[in-house]
Amino acid sequence: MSEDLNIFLHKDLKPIEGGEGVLSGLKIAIKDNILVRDWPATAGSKILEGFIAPYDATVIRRLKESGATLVGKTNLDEFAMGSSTENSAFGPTKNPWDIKRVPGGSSGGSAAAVAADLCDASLGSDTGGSIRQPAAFCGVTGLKPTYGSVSRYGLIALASSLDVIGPMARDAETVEKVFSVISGADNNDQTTFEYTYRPVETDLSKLKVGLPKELWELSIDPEIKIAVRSFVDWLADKGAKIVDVSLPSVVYALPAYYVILPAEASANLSRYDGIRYRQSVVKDGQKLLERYMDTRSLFGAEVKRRILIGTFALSVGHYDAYYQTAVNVKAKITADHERVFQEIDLLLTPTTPTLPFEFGAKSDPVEMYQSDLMTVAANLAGVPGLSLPCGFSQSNLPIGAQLIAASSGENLLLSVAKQYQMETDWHTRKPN
Amino acid sequence: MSEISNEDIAHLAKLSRLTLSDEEKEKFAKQLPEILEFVDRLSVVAKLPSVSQPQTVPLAKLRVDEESSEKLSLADLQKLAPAWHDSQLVVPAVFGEVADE
Repeated sequence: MSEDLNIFLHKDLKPIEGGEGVLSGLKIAIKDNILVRDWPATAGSKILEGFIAPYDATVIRRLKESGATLVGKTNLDEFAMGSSTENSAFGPTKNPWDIKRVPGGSSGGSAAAVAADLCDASLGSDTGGSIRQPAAFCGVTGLKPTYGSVSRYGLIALASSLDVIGPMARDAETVEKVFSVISGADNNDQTTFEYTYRPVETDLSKLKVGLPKELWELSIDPEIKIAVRSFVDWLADKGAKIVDVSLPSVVYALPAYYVILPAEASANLSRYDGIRYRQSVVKDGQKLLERYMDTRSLFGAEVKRRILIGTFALSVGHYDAYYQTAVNVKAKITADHERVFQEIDLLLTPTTPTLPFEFGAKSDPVEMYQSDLMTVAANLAGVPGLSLPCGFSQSNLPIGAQLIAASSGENLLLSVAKQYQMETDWHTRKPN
Repeated sequence: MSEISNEDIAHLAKLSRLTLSDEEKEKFAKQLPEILEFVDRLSVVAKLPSVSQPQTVPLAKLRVDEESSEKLSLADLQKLAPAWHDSQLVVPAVFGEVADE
């Protein structure tokens, strides 16, 4: 099945068997932008073909020390830039629920690997929704942790102020197991903070859940609205108080994100110079700068597009209008989240505005960017978010609901998700 | 919508250190104004109080003790790069004639 769906890259890799530990027996697939020593890591790009990771990412070291078995590297949009895996230089991954449709992205391979039963859990990375959106499209549970709670050491950088690694699995209990292992401070990543995951048993009747009106008022597929509403009703039946809340700044989250991300990416991707990495476009009489520019022609269209936008936003005359304004908006979004979480415990929204779409359906870049509408604010605010299956469309496509908590509130997210999954079976359904 | 000519794209590509084909220049000259129009929605919030540049790490935390950890061997590093000569990385000439590689 995996061969047909193009879930795994480097298909000849032999699994790294686990030993004793809390994750003993758990088979975990790894997104191909996370380094596993002696395994290739392409980040879905031709420019990194032939690169063999010389060390383990911190999350990988922790998985190995906890006895997990690593089964392979999963496909992604090139350098995690995309929402469908269509930007992978190695072809798109197909959605196990409908092979004519995308699995979401950028961690589409990791989500599809769980949905197709090729592993027990997987690691993805989330910069604007890249764990939660594919989790929703593939009918699995995915956690985007608080920024800084999981080390980025050994993650191929996209936008360093937003990137975070997180787990995906069929159920919240497995997500929790993996998250408790990979989280925590790391001297190799100065943006991590002291963090110890402590599970809680949340009393749902004391919970206050906010529905952010700015996101619920957006154009959302009616079937998604109905399914997520049923999750809201379930919480209300348990005694949770449901309230409307306002986060006025979130409507600017997506444009701010599409300034900050390209700006940081244009700097981060400057390292692929044709000198330090194996891929190099060599021509007769070529000078150093020409080698650099020629090699970078190996980048795909979306990567080039974002490097151009990032360079534009950072250039003299445009810096204040674009980058500084986007940074100001990010601060406002963070403040709005801090304010709202003084009044409520959780935010609840659909994870995506649309059902999984067909390949080629979104050829316009701006239209594709709208896939991140619901998820991107949590990245700008640095707070944790979780997507969990809450229903299916009439055409049997999975639908995800998104829960967002205040910083370090992963235990609250996972407790609510676990209780929901004890009483529902959406997460247990498997594609044919 | 901002107008971006093929010449503008060529200049931006130069600043970005990207070699673009004519076809790419044409495509990006059409797409970039659409993306910029989308992010221009930010202009209505341009009057927000200006915050300092993102400083995600308190400066005091940047001071960590130096300690040796697992070292990367020369063999490890040689596996990564395209060309080596006598344990040194081969780089094309910066100025003048190209050195023998």
